[in-house]
Amino acid sequence: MFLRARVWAVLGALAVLAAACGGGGGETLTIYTSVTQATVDAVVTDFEEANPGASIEVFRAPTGEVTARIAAERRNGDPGADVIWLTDPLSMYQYQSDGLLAAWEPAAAAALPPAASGPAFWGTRVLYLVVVAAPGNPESITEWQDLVDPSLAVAFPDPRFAGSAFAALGYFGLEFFGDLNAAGAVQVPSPGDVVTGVAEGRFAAGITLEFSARTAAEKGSPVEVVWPRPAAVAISSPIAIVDGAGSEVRARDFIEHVLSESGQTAIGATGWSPILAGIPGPVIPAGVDIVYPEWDVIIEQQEDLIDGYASLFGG
Amino acid sequence: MGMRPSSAASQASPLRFGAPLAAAAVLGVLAGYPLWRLAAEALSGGGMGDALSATGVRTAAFNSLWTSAAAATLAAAAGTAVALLTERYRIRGAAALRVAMVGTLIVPPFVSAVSWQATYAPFGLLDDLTGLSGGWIDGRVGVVVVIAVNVAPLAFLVVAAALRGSRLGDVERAARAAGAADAATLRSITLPLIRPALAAAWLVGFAAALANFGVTTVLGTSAGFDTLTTRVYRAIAFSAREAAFQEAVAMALILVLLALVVIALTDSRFVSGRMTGLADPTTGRIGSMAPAPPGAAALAWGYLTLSLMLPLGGLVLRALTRAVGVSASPGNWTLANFRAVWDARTWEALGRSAALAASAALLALAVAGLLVFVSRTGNRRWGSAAAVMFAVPGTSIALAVSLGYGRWIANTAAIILVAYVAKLLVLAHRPLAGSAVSIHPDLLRAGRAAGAGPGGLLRWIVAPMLRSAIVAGAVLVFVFAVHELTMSSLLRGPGNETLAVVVLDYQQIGDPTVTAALAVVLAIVIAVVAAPLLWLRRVWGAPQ
Repeated sequence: MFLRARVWAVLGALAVLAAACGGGGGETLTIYTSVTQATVDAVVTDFEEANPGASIEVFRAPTGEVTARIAAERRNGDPGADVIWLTDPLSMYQYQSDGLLAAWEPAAAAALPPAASGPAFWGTRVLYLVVVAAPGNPESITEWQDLVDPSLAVAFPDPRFAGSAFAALGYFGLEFFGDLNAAGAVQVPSPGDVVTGVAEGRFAAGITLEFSARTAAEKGSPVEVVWPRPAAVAISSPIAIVDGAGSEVRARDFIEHVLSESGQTAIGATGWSPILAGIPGPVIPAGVDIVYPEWDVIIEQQEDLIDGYASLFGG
Repeated sequence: MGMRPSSAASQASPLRFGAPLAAAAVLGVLAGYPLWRLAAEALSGGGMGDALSATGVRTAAFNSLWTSAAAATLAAAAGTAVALLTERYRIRGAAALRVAMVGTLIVPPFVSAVSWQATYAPFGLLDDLTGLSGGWIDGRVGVVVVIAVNVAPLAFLVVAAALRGSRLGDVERAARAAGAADAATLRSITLPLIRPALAAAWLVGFAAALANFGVTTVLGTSAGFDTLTTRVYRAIAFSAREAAFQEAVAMALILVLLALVVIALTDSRFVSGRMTGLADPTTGRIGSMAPAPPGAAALAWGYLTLSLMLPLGGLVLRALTRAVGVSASPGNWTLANFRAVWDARTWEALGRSAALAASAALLALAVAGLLVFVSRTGNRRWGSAAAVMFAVPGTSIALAVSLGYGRWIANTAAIILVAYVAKLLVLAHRPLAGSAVSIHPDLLRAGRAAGAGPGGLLRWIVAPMLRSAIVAGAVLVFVFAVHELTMSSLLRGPGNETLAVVVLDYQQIGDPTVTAALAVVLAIVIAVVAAPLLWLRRVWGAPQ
């Protein structure tokens, strides 16, 4: 009797847990995203305030977990997402060419930089690849090419772990990474590790995301953002509707909101650069040049780039 | 169940036939079907061929094997040495040593790797304070050492349980009485007799090392050193591309096959040795204990200082420092990093993770109990099956489970629990299996003769004798489930965040001081939860 009561107690607890972790109803808009939590929260809250009664569920995880989940779900039927919102365009280009995304154009489409979107996905904010250096830029780094210097300890993020780091490989090409290798530059797991390494003095400079370097500097880390010539590399954080989404109308409403002044302001307030001009957000110094990688070209060369890179840096 | 002793005879035979069927069904659900889906996926799309021919996959497989074997060997050596010291010798502060040794588990491996780097690498904490640093931390040596340190507590627990639960003391006393020196007794009596436990310790360490991702990523990347597990994760990062997804699945399958071969060989050659003859149902304790060899305690504390306390101190200092790269002196201390993670979201996620982990611990114990029961009545290979899944990285298990059951139970707690129990079953099974041999069949016969049914035997004889192992298994499964980062983050339903989701978000933002603060909070929570259980274990493990 005693044992049986305990078994029922456990089963009951499991049932409660199952209910607590269960999914929502049909009218709910489900967003799969790799955008950082604070930013998603700010935008979703803003949307819910503008649309009382809207029900939104967010699945947030690093890009790899999001894409692996989608891949597994596609094998068992349809992906569970109505909207996909990612950190960089690499996976989105793939989904677009696989026909996973719904063809549709938001009202703000014309105001977006043409290179930031595909026909079926839309840039929402911009991440910049820049140089991080010690305060005051003691090594006088002004160009990307200055990183190719055997007398400097230089770090960069492994392009095989994340799309934003892959953008650097795609944009600069294998020759530049060959030069970096010859000059003794070191790969680390992520853009954040580059900033940490420079802050601790292990590296003199490195390639990283402007957000990572800026937020570390704001907290007091001894690092400085350097906007290198000829141009900082811009990476758009794309959003799209899944073809056949259960709540396509609501999905459109949501994306329109992300690209509205209100949604863009919410993005800017969480420290990321809004994609629309004239919205308050991180300040980019005057005279800085920005360039978007040619993703459609890079994607064609994806495997060759990765193989060539592996022969330089191992693995 | 235990209220009807008269029906004992009639219940015994269906149990004998039903239990193996139930065990096979449970293992089929936990491992068989998901792995079959994984294999079908790998073999159908040509992913297997691509994976095998991809540049560097063989090197990565070789790296996986040798780093795991080396780390498991080091871990087994360290774990055994400390276990002998605390369980076989008379030594001051044995309880503190035990707690410190198991305490290594409160920090998840990837955090541990970051702490080691921040403490020992050039420009690290020790370098700042003393000018000493180890360039070897970044690279294959560091990978092996830090993985070994992280799995050593598992080896310690397995060996310590074997030493406590056997009548080794009587045999050793006899050897000493016959004039054998302590070293000779150790070499020719003790170690050969606990060989199955040593092999089990090595095996669990090997499986844990094979699945490790965090340490190799943190410490191996700058040296261009990778293993199959890091390659799985890299393929996952690009898994929007069909070929990359299939490569990830195929490499996971290669890992499963490697684990299967190594574990089956080890299990059949070494672990299957029986210690039943040494079982000591009356005291569960070693008899007279010899004084510890001179310097051994200092050596053990030295090891724990380097492997646990310094890196943990480094972690706490980093969490307290206002930004990375500034000196960790009191002038730069702040609680801001703790305030950043100290919010309702963290606590809610922690609560959900703890509930899932506790459920996983109970389920894993139930399944482990079933496997142990089946092993006693027949096939001893059931245990190997439980160990294989532990060697598979969390992401791969999540994918296999998602492919297998996503159609029916996606986004529920059930699918996460299937993944947890599948992966962590071995942590509940090995302690139970190790202690179950100490239940002499005569005891059960005596119980039956006295009129106890299966329920009565379980409640009055088996459970009390296995209490220590049950608590150890539950704590291990709980801690590993709370720490895991990838299974719940892939399988959970939208809006239902687990701790992994919060940790990965902070990691993605990339502020190591905040991540350190979160790790410290987590370590404190786990210590608070585990301490009463360890205390219980001490009470339960005491002579009865």
